[in-house]
Amino acid sequence: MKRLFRRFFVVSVLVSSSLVWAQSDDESDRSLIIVGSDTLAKVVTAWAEQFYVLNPTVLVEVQAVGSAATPPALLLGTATIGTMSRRMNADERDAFAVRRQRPPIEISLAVDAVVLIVHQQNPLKSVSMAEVGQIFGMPGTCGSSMRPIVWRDLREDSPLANRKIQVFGRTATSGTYQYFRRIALCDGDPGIFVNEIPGGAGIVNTVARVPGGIGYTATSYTSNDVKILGIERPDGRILYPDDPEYPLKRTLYLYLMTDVSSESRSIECEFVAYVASEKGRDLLINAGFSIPQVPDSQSARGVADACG
Amino acid sequence: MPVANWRHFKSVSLGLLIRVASFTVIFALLGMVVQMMVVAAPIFAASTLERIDAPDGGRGVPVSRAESQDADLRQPIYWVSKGGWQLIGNPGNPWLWVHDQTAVRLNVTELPSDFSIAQMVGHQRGLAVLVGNRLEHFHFSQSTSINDVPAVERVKTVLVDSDIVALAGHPRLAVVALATSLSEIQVVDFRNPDATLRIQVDVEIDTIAWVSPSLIRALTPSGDAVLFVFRATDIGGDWRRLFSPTQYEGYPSEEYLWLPLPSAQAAESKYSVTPLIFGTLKAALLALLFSVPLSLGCAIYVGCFMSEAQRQRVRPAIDMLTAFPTVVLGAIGLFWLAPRFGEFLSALIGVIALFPILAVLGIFGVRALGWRWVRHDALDDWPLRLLPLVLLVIVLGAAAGLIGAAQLPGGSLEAYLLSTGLSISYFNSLLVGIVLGLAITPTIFSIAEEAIHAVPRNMAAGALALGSTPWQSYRDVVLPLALPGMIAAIMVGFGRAAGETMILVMLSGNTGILDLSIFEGLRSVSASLALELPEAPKKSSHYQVLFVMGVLLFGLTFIVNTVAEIIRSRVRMRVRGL
Repeated sequence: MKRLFRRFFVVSVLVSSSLVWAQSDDESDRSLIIVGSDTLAKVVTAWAEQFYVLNPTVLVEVQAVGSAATPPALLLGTATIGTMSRRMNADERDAFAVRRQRPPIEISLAVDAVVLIVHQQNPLKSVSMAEVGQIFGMPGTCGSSMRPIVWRDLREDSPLANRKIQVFGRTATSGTYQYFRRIALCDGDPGIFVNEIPGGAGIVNTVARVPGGIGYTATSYTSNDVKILGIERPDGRILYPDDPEYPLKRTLYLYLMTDVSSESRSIECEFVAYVASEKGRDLLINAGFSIPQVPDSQSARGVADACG
Repeated sequence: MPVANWRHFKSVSLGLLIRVASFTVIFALLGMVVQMMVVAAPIFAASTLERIDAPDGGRGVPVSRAESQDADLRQPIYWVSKGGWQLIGNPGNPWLWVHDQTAVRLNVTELPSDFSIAQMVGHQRGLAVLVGNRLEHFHFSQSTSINDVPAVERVKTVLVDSDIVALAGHPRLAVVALATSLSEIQVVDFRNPDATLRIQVDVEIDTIAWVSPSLIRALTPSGDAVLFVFRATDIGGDWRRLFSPTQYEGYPSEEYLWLPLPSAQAAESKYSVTPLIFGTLKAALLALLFSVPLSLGCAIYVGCFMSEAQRQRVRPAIDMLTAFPTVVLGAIGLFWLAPRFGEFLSALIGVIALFPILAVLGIFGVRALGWRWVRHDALDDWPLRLLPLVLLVIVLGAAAGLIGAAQLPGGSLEAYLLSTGLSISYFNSLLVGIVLGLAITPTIFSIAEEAIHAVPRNMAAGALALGSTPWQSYRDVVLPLALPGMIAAIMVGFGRAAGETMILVMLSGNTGILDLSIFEGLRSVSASLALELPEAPKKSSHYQVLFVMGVLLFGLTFIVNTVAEIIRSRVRMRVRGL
């Protein structure tokens, strides 16, 4: 109830702020507009709410319209902070650099991994990317010709033997599906035999009940009822989702328009400091993301320290 | 008299209000159908090609893709697989696979060496090669390692004019744009080669390129640009592609595939509604298989044998079940039935196999013991007396089924089927059929019982008076009269099963396969609508195809229900005179 009230309050403040902002110039530097990724929308909104509680004089506006909106917004200055679920590409970077005489400040904000899950009792520990393509894709995906139908086809000694490999995936409208299709299936088609389950949590619940099941989902949905598979590299090393080289992993980024190191105590800087604080990190981790292991200059902590 | 006037006014205004309201409802319903058709219609539009005028002669249009294609022409590398195999071709020479790291060279014998122009077409998987007046379309298989040389396969050959000077492949679809020496721009759709689009221009063209999936830019030798807009739906103006097997890029044969890709603009979406219609019919027929014996048996019992007083109590109770939310049934199926489907199936087989034997044995056994309360003609008055017996028979049948399954080699039905090479999918058609059958049972019962009850009782009484047994009188007099009504009931049940959504979304697995096996999953039209419609971008081909399916589903249930209603009203007319 309190939360709901607060949310309403933020919204109403935002509406009135736009009027105030239009009138008085000196207030404008006390507002913060965050544009960008839909993947991060929940976390960023939570951050904005908490940040507003800590800094009641700052007006925070969040627009989660998708990563593609970030570069133009930062370029034109309609937002000072942008989030993206992919890295800015060279063209976007160049355009920014030409206009602002320097590249945008990039923070590796969070890591979101897609994991492969099987039933707890399945002794399978890892699969290779080629096998992932065979299991989930149409015959011929990533150059594979044979699709393993039963578990023995995949691992000769699997105790599941003749049990069918039951494959569970997301529906075509899901972002995880698109990502999985692009990376794990070499941009090929997922097999028509894949059971489409609406929702990442649904896949976890289903795989937890199906001994011969295998599925993919975002890390944030996994539970103890399922086993997370490692991914075996050609050289034999097995990578788990917390490994920096895990292949089904994407970093989510935060971009700053202003050069925070030159302006002391700017709102952007305070916001980044909040994001890097324990509370901010907790919100991020609770939403199922993990903190990327990057050099200080690219982390929220490092950037916040540099401008403090 | 003011009072009379007021009454008159009230009567007139209320009557008018009701008429207007009901007219509005009817009109709104019709409007909704028309609206659905209007939304769906653009998917059938034929592809078009038209010349447009750009403000600065088209020079301001960004042409990153087009320039890279021009570069392709000079550079002989056409495609690079993920495994590092490069496809290299020069007019007049054999095509080669060259590995970028080891420099291993292999001849590509499948591709013609005497070609004049070649271009990549579609989503990085196809090659259009012009040999004389033959335009050939090839596919590659993706390869991820050096050990795996991509396979090349000819998909289609289209005959074109022999004076082609330039060729450009569409970035997403199996479509090429051609320029002839007579200044004609042609767009050939490999998926539908009969519908080649042509447009004549007044300048000489020597280069042609796709600027975007819908924009073609042709250049004259002096560098002036001419722009053309190509509009095509994802099915290329050919409605048969929705229903018949289609050759898709990267597939060795013609397939029925439902693989919409709402946001991946790069790849070809596949919209074959056949697997979905098949899934809907499969689910509905399986549901009828379970529901018809249950519901008609129940209807015959309540309509023929039960006393009127009992019927008055039982009927409303079952009628109420008609409104039972199917999402709850779906949840029961998901959380309770699916995890122990093997056991459930063995118990069900046991009950079905043993029920007639056990029921008859039970009744005769009890009567042999001299217990008067199970005289078969007394059952009508107090059916609950039969309940312990029925429960006992079900428990015994289920136990027999479970014990029987345990005796099978492997120790369970699933293990036994597995040893015979049959693996039951977790979400399978049989599970859907059982739960969906339960969902439509009250509906079929309600209508069938009404039909049986509508047959005047004096018909049966007359037969009894002439010496027939009660069963003979029902079998030969009442049921034949009620038969059309029972058929109507089955049709309504079918219509409900075809339109049912939640059970299908939760239990069918949503796998769009064409497989008659009852142990495989299915994907229904209604479930696809529920899953995809909220996310499909408006005005996209996906959105329109979903509306086509909506119209089809509406048409199916509308026809079935209308025929059923006609049958019912005829039956009512017929028995009224009796």
